[in-house]
Amino acid sequence: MKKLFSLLLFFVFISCNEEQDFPSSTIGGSGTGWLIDRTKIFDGGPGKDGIPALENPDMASIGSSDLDILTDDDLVLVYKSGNTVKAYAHPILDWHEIINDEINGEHIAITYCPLTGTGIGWGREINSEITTFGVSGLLFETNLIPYDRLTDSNWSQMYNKCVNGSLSGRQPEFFNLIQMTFGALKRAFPNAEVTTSNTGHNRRYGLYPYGSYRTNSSTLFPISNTDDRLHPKDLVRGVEVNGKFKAYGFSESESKFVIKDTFEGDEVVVYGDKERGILVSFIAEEIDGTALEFTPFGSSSTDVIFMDQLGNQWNMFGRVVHGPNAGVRMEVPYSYIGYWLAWATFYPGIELYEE
Amino acid sequence: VTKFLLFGLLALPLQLVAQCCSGGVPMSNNIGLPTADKGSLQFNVNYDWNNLQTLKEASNELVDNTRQRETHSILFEFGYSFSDKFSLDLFVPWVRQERTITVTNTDFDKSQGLGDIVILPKYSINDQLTIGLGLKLPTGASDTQADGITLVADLQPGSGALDQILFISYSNYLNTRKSFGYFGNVIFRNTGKNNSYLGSATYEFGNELQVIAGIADRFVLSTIQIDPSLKIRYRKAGRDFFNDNEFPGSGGEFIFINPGISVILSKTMAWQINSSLPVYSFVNETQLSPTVQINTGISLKLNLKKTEFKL
Repeated sequence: MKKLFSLLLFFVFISCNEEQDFPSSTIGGSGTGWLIDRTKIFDGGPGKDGIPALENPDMASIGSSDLDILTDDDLVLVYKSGNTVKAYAHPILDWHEIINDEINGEHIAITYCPLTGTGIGWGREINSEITTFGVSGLLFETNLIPYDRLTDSNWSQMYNKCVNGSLSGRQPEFFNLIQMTFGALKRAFPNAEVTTSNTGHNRRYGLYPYGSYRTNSSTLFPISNTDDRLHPKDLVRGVEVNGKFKAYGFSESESKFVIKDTFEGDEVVVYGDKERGILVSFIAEEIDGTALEFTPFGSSSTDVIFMDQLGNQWNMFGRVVHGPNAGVRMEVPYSYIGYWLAWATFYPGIELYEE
Repeated sequence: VTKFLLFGLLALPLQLVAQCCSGGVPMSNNIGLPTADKGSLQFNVNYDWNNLQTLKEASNELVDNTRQRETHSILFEFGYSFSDKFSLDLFVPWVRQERTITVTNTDFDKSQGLGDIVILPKYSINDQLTIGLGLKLPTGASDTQADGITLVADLQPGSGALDQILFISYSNYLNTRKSFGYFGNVIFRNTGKNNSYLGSATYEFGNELQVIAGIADRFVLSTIQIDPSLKIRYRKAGRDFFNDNEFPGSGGEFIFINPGISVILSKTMAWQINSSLPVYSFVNETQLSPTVQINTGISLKLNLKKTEFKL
């Protein structure tokens, strides 16, 4: 009888006793101070690295059977360096959220938050050292908080800066990513390399892990502000000029469009192609004192997206690739695509371009 | 013999574990004490360890050894029979939830504290059939933080919701071998809503249905009476809801085999140990699903009117 009571007390002891063989909680990152409202940071559920970031992912050329999991409607994030074009597929990013890669010597982290629909390229060089980013498992305003493995500091993806840890306040180098459908990628960049499902992780990559989230009007975690000017899951491109953001969505009336819009003293050029899923932005330049006017380019089998009245053909990276001013570039402002709900809660009252 | 067998069964937990597929709130574990004679006071204390490290997509197992969820619980249950027909069970859990992720480093988070208390009045229709209607009270914390950050719903000790419970129990024995008992239980939990989840949001765990069928027998080894048992348990958990919208990665269907053994120590005391092993799992989307569960503890029965309780 005494043995039985001893056994019971043992069980009670091991359950009640504070853990001694476990590390202390690591959910809060490396420091106690946060530059963002801590009460709006939530545990996403999987925990730190519970969503495993990828490093140097396996890539395949278009046409490879390794890309069979992708449909033409799947979205990809495209980065171009020199003549190299790499595409990071949403069906991979939905499961990993961060891909650490190197392209022609550029160390880049593709950060993607499935809950806000935001894909942003970050440089991985910090304090002259190359690091990688991982998924902290935390969310701020339902948006991804990556952490760097050099200092264990936490970063806000949409605020584009370190918000906790020894690098607090630091901003990462911005790499412009262009989102489009896989079908559009195949036509415009037939030589592109695309992430495959050979990730080293056992996941069902053809299956979207968040149910109807992409199309319904709900969130999975609280957000501070909503805005009914658009559907919460409408994709818009937020463009920053002089520290302020303005949102540009797809056109309701035209499948392809180019607009010029004056915002904070700059001429913002936005091109949209709803069928191809492309929404890009530039800061307009004058050529020899001529203010340019743009019209959408007809063909989709090239990276050219619009023409100007001088006969120049501009590609989606903001460069004249054919015409009298070949080689001229437009500035790409800090901007990225995301769900309207994300812009509405991160930047309450954000200006929205309306046709 | 039958009376002793029923006391042996008393020591076999009737699973009413509200763990969602990726962890969750162990609302109760041993609920549903057998109806005893008028004036009987019953007391169970059990330790329960629930381990989830099997990653599944639908019914397919995905190879991934990086994630683990564990729930350690100490489960106290009190039962008092006001008459031969009416009894009341009170269930008080203490819960510790753990999440461990091991990649290059180990990430560990936990919460612990009083869980959700269950009150279950029961009525015995006859010697075999008992029904109960109960409540699970939101006594457990549902806003526990780690490093100042509120943990997700299924890492909390409590659900923050008032649930309704329907309990139906049937037990009988073979006339040809009175020590051989067979039993079944149906437990349905209609979940309530936590209206202050993560501040001002709402969260509702999915409704849960469990159907259990089992057998038990008695053997005497030397002077020790031993009741081995075997149960099969079907559990269906509906999807959770966040702000009234379905929460992906929640809910599923499971079938478990529960082998167990109970040792009758005296007229008033029994010790039991049993495990729960999944033989089939189907989860919505991709989730960690149960890997193994072990439960052990002691049962005491005291008849206040006969005052036969002795230790």
